[in-house]
Formats: sequence, structure tokens, C-alpha cells
Amino acid sequence: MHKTSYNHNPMKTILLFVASILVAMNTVAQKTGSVEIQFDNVVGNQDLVLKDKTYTNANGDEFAVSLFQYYVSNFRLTRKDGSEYVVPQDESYFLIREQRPETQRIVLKNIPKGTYVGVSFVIGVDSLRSASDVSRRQGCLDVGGEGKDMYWAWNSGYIFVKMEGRSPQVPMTGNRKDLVFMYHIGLFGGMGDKKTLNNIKAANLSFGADKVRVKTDDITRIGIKTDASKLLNGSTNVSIAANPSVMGGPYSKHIADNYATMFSYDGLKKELPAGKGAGVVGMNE
Amino acid sequence: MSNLFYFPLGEETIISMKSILSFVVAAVLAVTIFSCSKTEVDSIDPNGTGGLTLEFDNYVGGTNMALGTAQYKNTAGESFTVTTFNYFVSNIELTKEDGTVVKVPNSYYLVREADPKSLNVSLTGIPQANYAKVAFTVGVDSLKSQAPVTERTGGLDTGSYGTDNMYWSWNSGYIFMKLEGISPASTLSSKAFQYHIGGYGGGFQGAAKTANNLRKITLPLGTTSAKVRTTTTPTVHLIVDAARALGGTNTISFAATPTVHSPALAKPIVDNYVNMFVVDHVHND
Amino acid sequence: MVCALLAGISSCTGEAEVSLDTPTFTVPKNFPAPAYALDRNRITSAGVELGRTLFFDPKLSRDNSISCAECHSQPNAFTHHGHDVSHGIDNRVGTRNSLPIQNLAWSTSFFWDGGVLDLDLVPVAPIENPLEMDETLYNVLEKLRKDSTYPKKFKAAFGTEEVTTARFLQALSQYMLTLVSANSRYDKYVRNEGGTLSADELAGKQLFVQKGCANCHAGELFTDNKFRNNGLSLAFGTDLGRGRITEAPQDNYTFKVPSLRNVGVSYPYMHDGRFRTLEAVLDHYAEGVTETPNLDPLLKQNGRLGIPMTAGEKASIIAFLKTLTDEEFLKNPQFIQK
Repeated sequence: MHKTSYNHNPMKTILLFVASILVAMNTVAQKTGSVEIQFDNVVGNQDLVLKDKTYTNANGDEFAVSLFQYYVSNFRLTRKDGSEYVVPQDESYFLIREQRPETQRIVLKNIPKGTYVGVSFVIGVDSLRSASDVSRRQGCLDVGGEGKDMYWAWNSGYIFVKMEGRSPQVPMTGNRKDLVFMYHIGLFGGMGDKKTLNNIKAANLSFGADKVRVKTDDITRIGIKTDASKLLNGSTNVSIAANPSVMGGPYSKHIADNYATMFSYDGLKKELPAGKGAGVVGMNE
Repeated sequence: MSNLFYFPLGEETIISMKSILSFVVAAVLAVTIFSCSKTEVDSIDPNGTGGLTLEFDNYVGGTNMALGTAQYKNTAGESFTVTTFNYFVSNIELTKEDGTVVKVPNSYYLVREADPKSLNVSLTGIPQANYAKVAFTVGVDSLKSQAPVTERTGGLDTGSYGTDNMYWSWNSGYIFMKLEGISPASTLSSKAFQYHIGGYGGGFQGAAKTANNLRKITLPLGTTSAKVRTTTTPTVHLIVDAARALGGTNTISFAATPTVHSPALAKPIVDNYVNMFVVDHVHND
Repeated sequence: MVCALLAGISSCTGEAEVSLDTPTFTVPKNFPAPAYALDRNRITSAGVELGRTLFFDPKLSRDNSISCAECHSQPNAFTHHGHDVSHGIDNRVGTRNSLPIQNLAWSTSFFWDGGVLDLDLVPVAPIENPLEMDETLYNVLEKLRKDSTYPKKFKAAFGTEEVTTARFLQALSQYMLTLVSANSRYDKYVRNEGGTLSADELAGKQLFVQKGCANCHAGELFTDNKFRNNGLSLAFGTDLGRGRITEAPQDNYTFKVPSLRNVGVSYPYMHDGRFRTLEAVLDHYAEGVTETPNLDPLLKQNGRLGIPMTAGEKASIIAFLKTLTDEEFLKNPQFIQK
């Protein structure tokens, strides 16, 4: 037996060390700060309260939400001149869960100092990463870890947005034993000649009149509101009675078209009080 | 104020936490127990019993049986579909490797392709041993055929399986095997064929004797014995080829014989179907 | 090709010091280049050993009762012997017949419907299917982390004791990639390694091409890796196959063209295992092809459904197909957990 670890190649270690110094120097030279985004999940103009609060969708159906979570990824910050800062992809995947406040606060690090006028991001996981090597599926993309409940194994791909809850409109037909509705929306388009539906959407938010300044070694905080009711309302007003359970399938396109508009810029924010979670960096690790 | 529908999840969560805990405790115990006995000893408890399952897997030739529109061909070259395939299996006997015969008391089972549950006959209270042979009667023996109705339970309860009648009220006997379907070769205007095979010998209360079509089937299990243990419930997977009821010893043509409804005319089919049961393999798990 | 591949691997050994002491995977002379990206998951003997241990470990199921090997048994080319649709945990019955695990390095999609496009992600599906192992990958990893032997095996294979999703899946891939079947009598015949085919088998080989079988069961892998509707009647159920994945109506009732290697021992046949014998399969192509939506045009030429074949022709083709049985593969002791 003459097996040693992957990480004990001294040449590699030195190279990595040199590389990290270079990166660090570059960073210092560029003068960077951080942007923290605080996601606030709402339903229309009301706060999202899991289980105990009843809402009404545009179709007039009453519903309560028991679970709401979604991926956001591939963040870009736009400058006034139209140029963009693209967050390095490996640090740009987040899974926001209503049940876990610490995930509702994400930090984008090493953002070049300057004034930004907008942010854009992918709702879900881009097709390249959806089809990537398992070793590149870390953190919230780890299907045997953080991402375990956001992955379809039989039609391999991530669930981008997942909302579940109860509604008296759910028909008690078939094997259904309770009034539960489920919207699991994914499908990244497949690979090569093996195409599936593509439900990847992008959000493009302007900061409006706000001047979002990123200062050296400082944290700039902004808010984004996520309106869960937008899954059900929009170009297609979803009837919970007619579509109580959408997990992939052709109808998922309508819900994805709806939720493409669920994000809105919510102004500059202050530091959150202690206890509201530490915030997450990179891939929600 | 009051929710129309509620989330009982709070209570359930507590319960499931408890059950998870007890599961963990049980699992830890199990691991401890098993890790103590390093080699699992295959032990037969001489006074112990166990279970054994006979799985009846119906086919037509090399093709799985699907009731309805699936097309098959008989040895006369006539195409047909199957709408009904039922048979009684009774008086099951298991022969140990040493030749001892164990008779399963009161074993009467009706196997109906239309009822997936009936395809697995689960025997319990079987003495622990290695079994090398299984035998059974196709049909219902004369004693049981004359038994009081109170003793006619399970598959013998003619009212327990809807309209799929397996009893000749006019001749006070069970139909042992029923094969029905549609064939363009049938000379009936409905294009149906119906083979109802019965006849236990008659002679009940001085009534006339009839043909005796009861047959005992004996099947060696081959290289793998069925090992009945406390923790092992073997499954004997039988392939039952309905095509063999129509061919082999006697070629049955739908054109020549579209129906058989009497014990006297049944012999050609009986001589065929004694060969329709084959042991495919045995699972010991 | 072999040289290029070996060169590719050996050039990597400088940076990765996990040993490559045994040549566990080689490309057979008559095979094309593998589809699997071997450079991103280098096959090592420790990795294969870990993968094999996992493949035979019932811990991968919810109640630790069944392993992958349960439905993929070696003597039947790693399929579920004798079962039309595979049985999973608690004797729950699945909806499809398990496919052989062989020559997966050359497969461009997995499962009958091609719902998974990367071998590494294949094991997640049976682990998490309620009808199969009914477990979660997350729990499996937790079980392995708590196990007294696995962290050491992970260290041997990947350098540290850390049990991660990627390592777990890559180890299983490494083992499955080594399941190469290329030593059938047919292979030894085409490679001039002393294998002989009888006159009947040679006639069958010729008919296999003439009758058009080779149009879909193409090349040395005996599959074109495409999805096709081969005219199975819907009397056995209305599984949409590939259409369930793509949601494109033109893909309804199409299924992956399976390889025919070891077809003589991997019965039953078709996605739902409706045929128990090769005779029943050939009868289907000769007389049983049904005009269902998206029937492959190759099975309806000049207005005639199916492929006309005489009884003798069918028998010859079956004789040829049986030369694809690879006894060395079916009995290789290295593939089994010791």
C-alpha cells in the first residue's frame, strides 16, 4: 500500500499558496467590500407566516403555506454605465428557505468598490451547473446534503422553487388523503440533443433612486422581497382545485412564468439584529 | 380568525421525534447484538415455525399476462386475448430435503389474475426446515366441495370476489380453472371463448358421479431449497403459462371448441394444464 | 485509443497520488471511445473496492434490507433475475424491469427513459425511489459516516476520511465502470482471439444486419443509445417512457434501445419485462408490433408492421444473440463483494 492523500503534494500546496496571495493582493489593489442581500418572503402585501396564516390567491382560493424555498444563483451587479460585476460562479449559489432565517441573508464578497444601480440573478440553477460533475455540486447544491430536498433523482435536476401548503380547494380525489398542495418547479432544459422543458428564469432588479455604494472593507445591505403569491398569480392565475400538485409537467411552465416576477428591490437595509442568523456566503455552506 | 383547515404538524412532529428516537435505540441495539455474533449461524429451531410464499406469475407463452387487449397466439395459430384467468390451489404440501412431508392444513386459495393480491399465497406456521418440493391440487377436493357453507371461507366463499363466479350452482361444485377471452377464430357470435374446468367426482348425497378432474401437481424446487427460518420467509416464484392449458398434450382450437362448461368435456384441457406450473426460482429472504 | 486513454490517465498520476496499481478499466479493442469522462473521476483500485462494498451494502436502503446487488445480480448481467418489474423494499413492486449494469462507460444516458445523463447521478434514483430503496442520499451518507469502516475506505480511495456526496457517487461509478463485458464468444470471434461461431450463428449474425436489427442495436455495444418506440402494445400499461422526461409528445412511448450484450441471461425483456424468452421477443418483432403513437418508422416499412422473419430466421438470430453471452463477465469473482 502506498496511498497518500490528494492534498499532500508540496508543489501543489506552494502553487495554491502563491495563487491565493496573488488573489489577495489583487483584491487589496481593487479595493472591495461586501453586499449583503436580505430576502424577505411575503405573500402579496402580507408577511409570509408558515402554517398559521391564511391567504387568498387571485383565483379566490384560500391557502396556507407550510414550506417555501428557492434557489437564486449567478449574481451580477450593474453599474450606472451598464457594465457589470459578475460574482464568481462558485460563490454564487444560494438556497433560501423560509424555515431557516439564516439562509435569508446572503453575502456577496469581494465586490469592487463603487456605485451600483441594479442586481440580476438566476431563479434556480443554470443549466451548466444542473448538468455538472458531482464534485462541483457543493454546499446548497449537494444532493446528499443541503440540497437533498431540492433534487429530482429520476429526471436528474434541481427543483428551483418549492412551495407546499394546504387549501380547502384541494380536491380529495385519487390517493389524496389531505388538503395539501405542492408546487415543485424545476427542469433546466436537458443536455445536448436530450431536451426537456426549460424553466430557468432570471430576475433583473433596479435599485431605482437608491445609490448602492460598495465601500472598501464595509458591508452594504440591501433588501429583496420575494412574493410567494406570484407562483399562483400572474399571466396564469392558478386554480388550486384544478392544479393542486405540479411537479414538473407541462403546467410547470405557467408557474415559472408567474414566479419570474416574484422578486422586487426593497431598499437599503440596516444590519439585522442578532438572532436573525449569521448570513451565508458562497454556496450556503 | 379561525383557520378553515389546520396543520396538525406540531403534534405529529413530536410523535415522529419519539418514534425516531425509539428507532435509533432499536437500531443501536440491533447493531450491538449483531456485532456480537460475528458469523451469522443459519440455525433451524426444531420447534419453530416460519412462513413461505408461493408467487403465481401468470404468462401466456413467453409473454406476461395482461388482461384485456394484449394479443397472444395459441398452438393452433389462432390469436386471442385473455379476459379472465383464475384457478384454485389447494391441499398444499411441502416436502423437506429429508423427504418428510408437511401438509399445510386447510389450504385453499383462489388465484385470480385480476386480483394482484391473490397472486401471492402466503403460508404461515410452516415448520422450520429446508424444503425441496412443493405440491398442490388444482381445484377443490371432494371433501371440501361437499363441506357446509360455514367452512367455505376465503377463496371458497363464492360471494367474496364479485361476479367472477367460480362455482357451479347447478352442479354444486367449484370451477377449478377458468380461462376466458376473445379470439377472432371463435365460432361464437361474441367471438368469446370460455373454458370452465371443474368436476370433483360428484356422488354427493347419492347424486350421480361426474368426471374427476382433480389433479395433484408436484414441483421440485431445483438447486435452491426453500429455507424456512424465523427470519427468512422464502418465496417460491412459479411461472404459470396459460398457453399450456391450450396446447401441449392436446391442441385446443377456439374454432373447434370455443367453450367447455362440463366436467366430462374438460379432460383435454386438464391433461394440458397439469404442465402449466413451473418453478422459476426460489428467494430466501 | 487504448494508448491515448492510458496516456491520459498516467499523465494525471503526477498530481494525484492515489495509486493506480491495478489496471481496473481498459477499453476493449473492438469498442469505441468511452462516453464517461474518465479524467474527472480517475479509477483506482481503492475507489473500485469502496464502490463494490457500497454496491453490496444494504445500508443504502431505508431499513438496511436491500443492496444494489439485490436487483442487479451478476449471473444475470446485473439485472433482477426472473422479475418482470423489479422488487424493492418491503416487497414493493417497481414499474420497470431493471437494466443490466454493464459497459456503462459507453452509455450516454441512463434508465429506460434517459432521465439521468450522468452515471455519477444514477445511484441517487434507486436510493430515493420509494418503491426501491426508499432512503435519502443524505441519510445514507450519515450512516456511512457513523460506520466504523467506511471513513477508512474513503480515505484509501480519496485521501481523507470525509464522506461526501461526490465521493460516494464517484466510488460507485468507479466500480460500475469496471463492469465491462467484452469477452463473449462473439468478441473473441471479431477480435480473432480464437472464438468461433457455428454456421447457424453466423447466419444469425448476417440476418441480424439484413433484417435491420443492427440499425438500432448498432455497433459493438449493440445499441445506438437512442430512444425509440418499438411497437409494444399498450395493453400492458401506458408508460410514457422518454416522454415522461422530455414532456414532448413526440417522445411518448419511446424507450432507450438496450444493449444486447448478455441478452441470453438477462430476461425478462422490454421496459416492463413482458417477455420472458427471446422467442417471445422475436415473435413480437415479427408479428406483434402495434401501431402506437411515435412508432419507429423502421418498424413500419412499405405499410407493413414489424419485421418479416421465418421461424428458422428467428432461431438463427437467437442463436447469434446467445454468442453475446460473456461467461467471464458473469463469473468474474472481482465483481463480487468478498
